Amino acid sequence: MEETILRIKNLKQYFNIGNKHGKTVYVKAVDDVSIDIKQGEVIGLVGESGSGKSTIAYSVIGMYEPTDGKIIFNGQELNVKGKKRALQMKKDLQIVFQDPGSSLNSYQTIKEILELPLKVHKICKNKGEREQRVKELLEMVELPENYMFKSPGSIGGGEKQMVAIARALATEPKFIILDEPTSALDVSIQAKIINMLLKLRKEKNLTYLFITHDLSLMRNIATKVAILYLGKVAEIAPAEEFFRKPEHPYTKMLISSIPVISEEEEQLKPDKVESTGEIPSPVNVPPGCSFHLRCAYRMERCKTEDPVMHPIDKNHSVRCHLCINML
Amino acid sequence: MHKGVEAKETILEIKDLKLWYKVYKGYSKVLDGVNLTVRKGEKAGIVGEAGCGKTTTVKSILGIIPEKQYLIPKGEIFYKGNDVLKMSEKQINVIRSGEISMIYQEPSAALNPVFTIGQQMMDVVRFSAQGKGKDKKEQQKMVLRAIQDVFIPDPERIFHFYPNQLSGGMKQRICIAMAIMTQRDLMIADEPGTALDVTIQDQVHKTLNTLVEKRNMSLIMITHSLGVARELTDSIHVMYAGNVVESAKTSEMFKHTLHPYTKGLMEAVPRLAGGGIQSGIYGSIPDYLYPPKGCRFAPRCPRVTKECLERKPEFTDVGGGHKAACFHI
Repeated sequence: MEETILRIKNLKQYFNIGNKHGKTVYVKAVDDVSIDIKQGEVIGLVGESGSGKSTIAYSVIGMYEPTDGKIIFNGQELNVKGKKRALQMKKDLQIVFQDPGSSLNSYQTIKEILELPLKVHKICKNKGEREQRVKELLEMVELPENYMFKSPGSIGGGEKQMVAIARALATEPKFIILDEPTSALDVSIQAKIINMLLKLRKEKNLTYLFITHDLSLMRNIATKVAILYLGKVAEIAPAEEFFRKPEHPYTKMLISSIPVISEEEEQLKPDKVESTGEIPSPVNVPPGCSFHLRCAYRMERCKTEDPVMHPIDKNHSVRCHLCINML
Repeated sequence: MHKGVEAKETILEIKDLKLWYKVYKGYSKVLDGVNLTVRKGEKAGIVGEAGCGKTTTVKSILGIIPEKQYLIPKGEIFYKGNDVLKMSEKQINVIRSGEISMIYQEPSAALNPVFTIGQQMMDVVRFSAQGKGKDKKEQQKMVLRAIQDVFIPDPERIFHFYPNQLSGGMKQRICIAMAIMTQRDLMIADEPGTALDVTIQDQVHKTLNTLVEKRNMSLIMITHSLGVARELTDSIHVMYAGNVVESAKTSEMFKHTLHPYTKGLMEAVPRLAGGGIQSGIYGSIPDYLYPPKGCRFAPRCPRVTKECLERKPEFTDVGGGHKAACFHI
């Protein structure tokens, strides 16, 4: 449990979006993010749209080359300039995307979809072995064997996502990135998929990086939660502590905006922080603390000086002038 | 019985509405007997998962499904006592322009990208019952007032903006502004916050709520989230596969859930209090081309019996206005 499996160190991901007045304009999608993930953890990355959660996932999986910073997986650096990633590394890191409708090829059968990673990573020796493995994978996600011959178009959204999960499991990875795996699905189906993911994690000793915008879902599955706002981590803490005593004003605002279904949950919300304002465009990040325009507790200092990440407890860090002042 | 709402007159009543879509293979029997009553000043929530017929139900109230695509074999929709389904196009247009307004789920799809906000809103005023025949200056005044009413600062500037210059939350506010610009009696909101982030959703819902209450309108709120329904509505109607399976006052619904589907739905919602997630509901929504003969929830129901598979349960009052369609309650 103690071993660090993935270390994201000062990751920066800027995107060039053209020129304005002779200067190159960048979108700072991820700006100096550091997260350590230990073996067996479920890390929840939470944030609103445009906060950079998916960008972090894509940088880790290798779809983007980071502008700056390091991603270290199992002691090895993932992005070395000019060098391709080793096949073994790709095998250990897998991803499940948000919309199973577009992440599965609708012209292939489920069997073909599940066989591809087996072929690429040369996991099975021959055809018969591959078919056996596909059957095993379907059993793992509790789908009947005959689904092999169906195409993604003929099965439901929840089942499609199960296939996507089976595909990620095909290479026996150590680490899976789940990019909003249930946000396109109904709650009754979401519950089933989440329970399956938790079961698989236990069985195979997996580590998850779980991306979502749903805080109540996070409460139930994550061991550690990181809140992102405009490409920066605002607060990071173990899940239980995170919900017991949130510190950052943005976290408080988020938690109090969630519509809940019982009085008991209503009690858990921090003193109602009225949600105001909108997320600024990541092209034009406000100076100082990027949250100060929406913050109810802003001080003079917040307008000019960007706060730095500061630990307030052993595992609990906050990036806010106010919270640090109160220590 | 809650007297405040009970005593008020009914504004909308849907009785046993069935609606079939014409598709290549035959009829897709989407609505299978929807019963819904909304009283004056009431905020009603329709809750259900994707594909359960929520949107179809409200679209049929305004008659905005293209005529060639559907068939209504049975049912009545009474708006203020008159059956909307029997009205001529001209009569319905009176309702569309002066009585009922609607907000759609996706604000960027509801606004035309090639016209400015002002142009689009002026159109709404021009064809509305109150704005018709007024001069242009006065119509513009109505538009600016409406933009201000949804808490957008600087309406004169926004008036000349194109939709793409606004954020999602702003666009949805503009849609709300369009819906409340002239006095209407009933507002239909089709998942107004779903496409937005939670903090923005919270703001949009609050704006909507304030305006509906201030103007004494009735509201039909469609949502797939029980949490949203709990915070915003007076009564909840849970839909499954084209039926309203349970309806009750909001507080009552969360205290005494009756229908197995509603129970399953409530259990599947992740709680802020933690404690893991329940198992959810097995299976998926039936194929509407060949729907189950008896109760449409029977194939997924944990309490299914022989009777459920053969006969459709009646939507009955179990006391205090709490209605449900199930043999086992």
